[in-house]
Amino acid sequence: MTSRLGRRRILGGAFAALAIAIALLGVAEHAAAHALLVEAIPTEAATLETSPPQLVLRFNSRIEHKLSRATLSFGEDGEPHPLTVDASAAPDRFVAPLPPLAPGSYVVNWQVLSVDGHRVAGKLRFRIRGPG
Amino acid sequence: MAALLGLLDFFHAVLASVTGIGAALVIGGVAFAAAALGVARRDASLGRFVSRSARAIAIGGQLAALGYVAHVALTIFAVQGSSPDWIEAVFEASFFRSYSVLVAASVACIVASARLAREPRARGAQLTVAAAAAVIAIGGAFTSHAAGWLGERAPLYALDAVHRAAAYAWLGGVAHLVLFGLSGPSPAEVMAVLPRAGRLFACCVGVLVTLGTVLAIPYLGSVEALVGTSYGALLAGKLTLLAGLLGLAAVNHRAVSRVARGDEPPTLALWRFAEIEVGLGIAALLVAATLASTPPGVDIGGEVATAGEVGHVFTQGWRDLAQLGRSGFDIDVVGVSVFNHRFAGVLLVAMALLAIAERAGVARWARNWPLLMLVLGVFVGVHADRQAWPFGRMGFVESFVDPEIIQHRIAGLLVCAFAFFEWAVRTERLSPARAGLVFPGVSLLGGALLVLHSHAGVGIKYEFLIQLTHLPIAILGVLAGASRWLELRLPGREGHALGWIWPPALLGIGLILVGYWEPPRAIPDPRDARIGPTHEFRTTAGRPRSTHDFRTTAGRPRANTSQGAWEVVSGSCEVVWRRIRS
Repeated sequence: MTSRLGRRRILGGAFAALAIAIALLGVAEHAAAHALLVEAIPTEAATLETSPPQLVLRFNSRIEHKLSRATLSFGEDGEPHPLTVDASAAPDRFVAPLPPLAPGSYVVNWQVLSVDGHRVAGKLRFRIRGPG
Repeated sequence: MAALLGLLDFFHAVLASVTGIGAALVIGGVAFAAAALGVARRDASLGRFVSRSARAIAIGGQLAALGYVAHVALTIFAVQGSSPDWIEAVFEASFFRSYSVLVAASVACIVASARLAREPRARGAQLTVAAAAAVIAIGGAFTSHAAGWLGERAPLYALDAVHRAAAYAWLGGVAHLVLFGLSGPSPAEVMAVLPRAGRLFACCVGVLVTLGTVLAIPYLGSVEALVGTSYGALLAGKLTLLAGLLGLAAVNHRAVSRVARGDEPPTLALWRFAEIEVGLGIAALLVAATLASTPPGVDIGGEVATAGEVGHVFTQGWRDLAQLGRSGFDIDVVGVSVFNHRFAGVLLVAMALLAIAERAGVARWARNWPLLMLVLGVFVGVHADRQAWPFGRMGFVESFVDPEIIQHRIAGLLVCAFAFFEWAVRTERLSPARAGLVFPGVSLLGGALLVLHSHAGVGIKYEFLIQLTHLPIAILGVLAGASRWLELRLPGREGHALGWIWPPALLGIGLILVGYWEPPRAIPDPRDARIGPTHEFRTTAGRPRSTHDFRTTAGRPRANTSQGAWEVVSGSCEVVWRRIRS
């Protein structure tokens, strides 16, 4: 009887392992985040006629401007150039002036820290159409 | 670096859980001492309990301090170099200031409670612990969604602080009640303390439910968000756990009332149900920690899933199976992810049925059902990542740089170990005498960890729908753990009857997995790739899961789909992806 009772004790651990295993089985990638990007200028995959004056990312929460950053690359494999963040922007906006950009494809890699201490990162691509 | 930052995201929710448990021990200890012990605390015979309780508060303070410090350290690691004056910016940041106050309060709590453990009547130490508990409750609000709220924050800070104080006082208070029961109190002490504890907990529950409802209004924004967002689904999960807790609390409240009236002495069931309240409470705290990392439903906007879409997730899999028959388990037809879930489901259904048969005394050989769990363990460890050895091109050693693959391998090993142990015990090859009650406790935690793992997403509709089925699985896991615990801890017919809950719970998990279905993926899943002789990868559905999904030989793989461009970051050869089914 004792062994029967003891045997049942093992089940709990088995269930725990099962639960964890099921959780790990084919679950999509995740990125814990609180701040959510709700608007971007330029928009993702936009094709622009002229160089945009600035990058604007709007989030659903307040962000720490000085602890947020972004880089701009020419094309997927271009060298990343850090952008200067406007620390006086609205609490929910990441604003960075952009230099005059030549026609081509650009990639922005950004990372912001929300005021409650959650990091979130993302990527934004846009293209500037060449003359003709 | 990217992998480390990914781990940081996951550990964020884990650390929030650790701090939540620590804070509950601190605040619950103070609330229990102040409201439940009352006059009785001056009774010298309670000295042993007060010392134990103080030590538990100190442990709570240590857990909280550990979580706060680790959170700050990991966050600084993530934001280092953001700007030329980033160090100064860290000191000015809201999160740093809030966590600094919380760390200071935790340290003060540790020191003072350590003194209380030696000198329970030290007035200064008592006041210090009480003040530290108040600071932890209030300070916690400044690390919540309220801190990032774009509107007026003051009311949310106040509501959040009181809401979390009530939650911690209740759940932590029950933990201290269990400690009280374990310290061998006299009948008179029990008669004095139990009714007061009952009133304390009832008061906490009232505040918790009221303020929780009020807080849900701004964070959810609509009834639809309760059904169709990750935040809403987690909230529903938390409410389900709360309902279970309230059910147990109601049973205990009646028992305490009978004790207070002198109708009957405290029963063993009262203490055992209190233990389960602690377990469910920890699960609820983990869910709450995940909620803190999930965007509020009100911010999801057009990405809110409809009730019909939610229902579709739970029913479409069965329609597919009815239509496809055996092909519903064909990996080339349904894709790797769906196949993995359905295969695991079949194994779990079989295990549950055999466990029921064994329990009912129908077939003695059914006791070998853990061998199926062994199969599941191997399956999890090997098949979950088909891009790696032995199925894929990624080498065995190389695959260990991917955190997700490491998690799968560890999970597979754990399941195998438990399977072997369980089978050996059931077939009387091993003595279970010292197994203890750790495992059912871990089972409760496992169910909650499932929520923690799968719902720390960014909240968009697709992520929400694809992970939706994990929430009921987690709830059933917690239910199974609670059932097992009570079965073991309550002797006689009562415990035996409660032990009949876990096999159907296991069956339920299995059936959910058999009927698993995923909405069409926007980007191919590399696990669905078939590796051709010229490095051509064909995909049926899916998307990349990590940066190590493919080992390639030249260039950075990327692809364009009708849903947009995407790439596989690691690797060194051009990969051609071709969708053969949308």
